[in-house]
Amino acid sequence: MTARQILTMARFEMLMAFRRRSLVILQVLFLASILFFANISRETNQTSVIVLPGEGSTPARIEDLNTLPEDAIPVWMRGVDLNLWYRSGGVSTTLIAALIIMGIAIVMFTNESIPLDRQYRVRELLDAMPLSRTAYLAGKVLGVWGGLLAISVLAALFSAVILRILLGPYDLRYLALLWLAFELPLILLAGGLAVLLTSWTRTRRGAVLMSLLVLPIVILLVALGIMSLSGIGVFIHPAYAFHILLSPDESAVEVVIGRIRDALPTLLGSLIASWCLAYGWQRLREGR
Amino acid sequence: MIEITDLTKTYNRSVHALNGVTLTIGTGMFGLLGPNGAGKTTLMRILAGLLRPTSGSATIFGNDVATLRGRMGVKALLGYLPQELGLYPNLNALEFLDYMAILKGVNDARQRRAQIDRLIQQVHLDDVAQRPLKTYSGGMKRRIGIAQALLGDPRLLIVDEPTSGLDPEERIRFRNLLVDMAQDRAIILSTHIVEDISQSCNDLAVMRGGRVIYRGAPADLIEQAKGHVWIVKGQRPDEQLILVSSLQMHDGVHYRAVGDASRYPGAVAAEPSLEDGYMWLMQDKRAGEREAARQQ
Repeated sequence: MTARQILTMARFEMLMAFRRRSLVILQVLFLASILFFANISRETNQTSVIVLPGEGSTPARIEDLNTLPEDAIPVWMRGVDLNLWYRSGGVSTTLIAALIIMGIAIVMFTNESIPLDRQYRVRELLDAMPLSRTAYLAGKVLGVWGGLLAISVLAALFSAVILRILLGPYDLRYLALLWLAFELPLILLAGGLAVLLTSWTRTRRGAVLMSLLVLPIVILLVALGIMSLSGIGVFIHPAYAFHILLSPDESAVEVVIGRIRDALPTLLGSLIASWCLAYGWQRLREGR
Repeated sequence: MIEITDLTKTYNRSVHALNGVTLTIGTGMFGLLGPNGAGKTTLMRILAGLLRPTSGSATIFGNDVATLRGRMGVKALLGYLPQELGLYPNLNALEFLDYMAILKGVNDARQRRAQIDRLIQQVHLDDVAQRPLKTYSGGMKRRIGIAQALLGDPRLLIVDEPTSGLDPEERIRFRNLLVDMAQDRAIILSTHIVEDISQSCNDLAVMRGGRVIYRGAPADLIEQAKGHVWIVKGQRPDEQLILVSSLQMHDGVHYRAVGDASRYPGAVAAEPSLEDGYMWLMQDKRAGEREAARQQ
């Protein structure tokens, strides 16, 4: 019965978030920020002259990258479509910048999920249901995650199209990997933290005020996530390390793995700690 | 069967909301009367598993509300209508009831749909069932609250001020619905509206100051007031009498009062109602408390 309850709560949370326009606003913000930063990437690409890493490199325009002599290209980048590779740099720049904007927006627009139950005076009804604290919290978090997942899918499709239009051809595998293993986990992290850390407030206004306190913590964690996860392009090719200012050689993979390994305990730990805080608060409240 | 033994609830170590309540409640309609702050809502919230008692015990169909397992057991059998009912404004009635039904464990979709349709009809909201709840009036919201309490065919129904905000016709309809349902389940009805109790309950408790000060049949409470209810014509009774009602008639104002009004010329003894019995009981307890305070 608990799984059914959790999924039902999540479904109705998504429906209600959509109807009170939170999801719609988030979606618009997400698409707008992708469009904005993709456009900046386009302008940068048009005006940039690139110097490849390594000795003997000479400045080259993007369209000339694929015609460079082999000795002007570092060993680890030979055989790579450099034009495609460089344009793909705009993908990561766009997604990283959009993620920072979205981190802020998510905290401000998903914090109301639990406080609204009290503001609407529905909480007493829910408390009288055979619904455990775990199921209640899980339903709320999953509801927010479901909504964020839905808008992220749309944003991913939008970004795939808009980046193709503005930047030209890029590595689609790189975009897919960044969405699945970088953008989405950090979006869900921000949403989970926002729901759990504001769960003890009683009104939407209280949740917004609490969010202002929570925001720096979430942004710090998202920034940590960006630093550790944004390099996952190296799993497609080490050359993608260049986009996050790492040396694109064989050590890049190890460096990125090390960063992820170092950051994961903090990122997961913050989520677990927030869950424990929210759970403890529920328990304290019930004990009164 | 609900067994409540010496139940107490203290807030902040000093406010005694319940003070040694002992009651046994069987199936059927059970009324709970009392002034504001008497402890009715606290008692009902404990029985609904929303609050933990400070001491004492309450067992509901074998589930002890002092334990988490017991409270979850109670909630699985419970239909609850709180005094301050809230609804999700962006859902319509069908969606809201569907949501609540699944949380209550009504998992079969066809059964759930049938229950919701039946309840929507019973509370006369079928015409507006698709409208968002934020567009409902206070009475309509109350009726949705009643419908959600009846979802899942609960063995125990706890309703706190269920008829406040309902028009007279709806109130009567709801009372009758409760009485119909009470044949094979326990229904605890807390209200300030004495008429709701007199028309539907054959067993009641009156609470005051966190204690049960009367337990028995409404008829016995009425009987206690016999000889103490008067109609006084023309002259307003003084403060020694409790004025229950006043009615402008063709020959002047008729005052209905509880106490000893034999000294008033033209005072006529009247048949007591449950409201008179309640007022007499309250006056009697107040006098007893004053006397006890004086002796201390």
